[in-house]
Amino acid sequence: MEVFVGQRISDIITLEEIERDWKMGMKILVRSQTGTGKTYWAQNTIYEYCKKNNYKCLLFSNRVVLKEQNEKSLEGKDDVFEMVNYQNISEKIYGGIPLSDVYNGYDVILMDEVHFFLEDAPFNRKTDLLLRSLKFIYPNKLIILLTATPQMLFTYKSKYDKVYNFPDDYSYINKVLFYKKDEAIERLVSNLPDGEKAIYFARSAEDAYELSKKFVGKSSFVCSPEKKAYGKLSDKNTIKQIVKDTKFSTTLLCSTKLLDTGINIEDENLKTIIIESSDPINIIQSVGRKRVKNENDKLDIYIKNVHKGDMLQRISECSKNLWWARELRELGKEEFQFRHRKSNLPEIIDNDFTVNVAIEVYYKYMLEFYEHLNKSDEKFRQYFYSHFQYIPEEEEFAEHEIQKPDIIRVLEENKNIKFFKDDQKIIAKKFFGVLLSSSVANDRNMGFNVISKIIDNNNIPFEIKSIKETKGQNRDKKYWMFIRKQEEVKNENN
Amino acid sequence: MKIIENEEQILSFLNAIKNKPIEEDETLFFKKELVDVVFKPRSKRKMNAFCKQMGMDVFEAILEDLELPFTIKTIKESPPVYMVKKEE
Repeated sequence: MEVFVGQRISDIITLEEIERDWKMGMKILVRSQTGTGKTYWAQNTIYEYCKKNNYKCLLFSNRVVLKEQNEKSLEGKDDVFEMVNYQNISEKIYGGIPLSDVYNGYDVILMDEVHFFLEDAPFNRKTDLLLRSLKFIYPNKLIILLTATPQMLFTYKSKYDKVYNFPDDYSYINKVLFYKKDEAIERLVSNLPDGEKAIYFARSAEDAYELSKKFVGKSSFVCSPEKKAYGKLSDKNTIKQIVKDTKFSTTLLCSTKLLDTGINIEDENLKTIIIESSDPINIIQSVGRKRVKNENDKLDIYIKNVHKGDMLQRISECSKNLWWARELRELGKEEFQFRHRKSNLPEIIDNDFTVNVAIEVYYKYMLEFYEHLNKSDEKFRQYFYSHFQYIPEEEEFAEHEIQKPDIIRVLEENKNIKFFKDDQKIIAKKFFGVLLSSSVANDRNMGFNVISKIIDNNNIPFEIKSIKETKGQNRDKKYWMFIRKQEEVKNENN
Repeated sequence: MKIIENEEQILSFLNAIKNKPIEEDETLFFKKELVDVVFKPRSKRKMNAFCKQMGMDVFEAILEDLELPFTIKTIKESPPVYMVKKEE
């Protein structure tokens, strides 16, 4: 079915369409990015469909926060919907409850953020227990799979009874920049204009927490409460606020994968998302957290660059894991156990000596992705420029963009000092050295006007003043002084 | 009178561009050319960042501080169109 940019799910998958084309036993895949009215569609069309047919719907979520947001938005509709987490159900199956029993009593199984099975596999060995649902046939059930990133699902199962593909609209993305070093994140956050907010999606809880510590008072840290050690430090109020208001109050939110899928942040002040990940699905999902409110609501994205060396390391990691799966299949259980009785086995091999299929699919997909990109250094960046429909004027790294902290540093070092004529040239040179690395002496000619305008343009909390000296050998001569705004400077003239 | 390095090139650029409208999509090019002739920056990336981040008022001030007989006028607002004018 042809679907156009801007069309919402409920415009396309209407009740009539469902009643006409969908049949029990089918698996329906709906691929749509955030903001295409997925929740509205579930709340209305699916609700109406179930109600009319006296069906019960089991709705899966992949994160606690998403489940809570779903519960809130589907309030009053519990005559049809029951909400569960994939993790809880996986635990039940792991405990011995058959998959068919889990689905018993439900006619429609709605799997939100269904990429969870594969995306979370490397750190959750139980996702494969539910993954099998995608291949089993349930003649009396309708299975609906929702995700913005179905790439890995196609690696696992290439055909679905019906696929709806809603085209992406990334016109709200203002720029996509890559950064090389982690220090850039700190500079970037320091550089945020007043009133603007940012989310930092870290690779680990430790990274997220460490950054939040550097911005105490204006940052919050969240991770899964079950995360060892760091879970205790996770800010419960911020999570509650996100669930309740789809907003957070601090300038910087440092998060792990806890918030990387499904949940919405509706805040025009959220202008920056920083992502430290080399996993394409994780990056795309992280960007999707912002719900755009109007056409002026724009977003800057900063992604940690992955260079060729990193890529080779990832290829090696994926290949090694896949080698273990092949080895087990080729040798068979007994021979494998004998030959590797002293080896440390990777998580792709389950403790019953079977291959964890979810982890295997994950590494297969990632290997294919990295091998494709490995052809050149630029490929990683180009992949995301293309995905986010962004055309860079020229490829630049965030490191080259961020100068405000450097300007502040120069001003801080030279504040409240009187700069008479000759010294003005020295300070101008220093100031422009930071900004432009000039190779001619014209920067010494730059005066009060330019410096003042640059400070204003960058919203820097300093001002430059030109003041007449009233006494001493420099009496009646004018000097410059950099003064931090809102700082009382007792000047001899005032 | 200030001693300006590269003055000939700067004046040549300003004379070449004067009295011609600089449309919104040409402003970055104009800013970069001006910064390039005035400062000869060692880092093109820093130059790009500077030109992207600074408003036209900074570039007007550069001409003012160099005491060059040129000004940048806004001849149309939204979308802005600028013009370099030579002072008589």
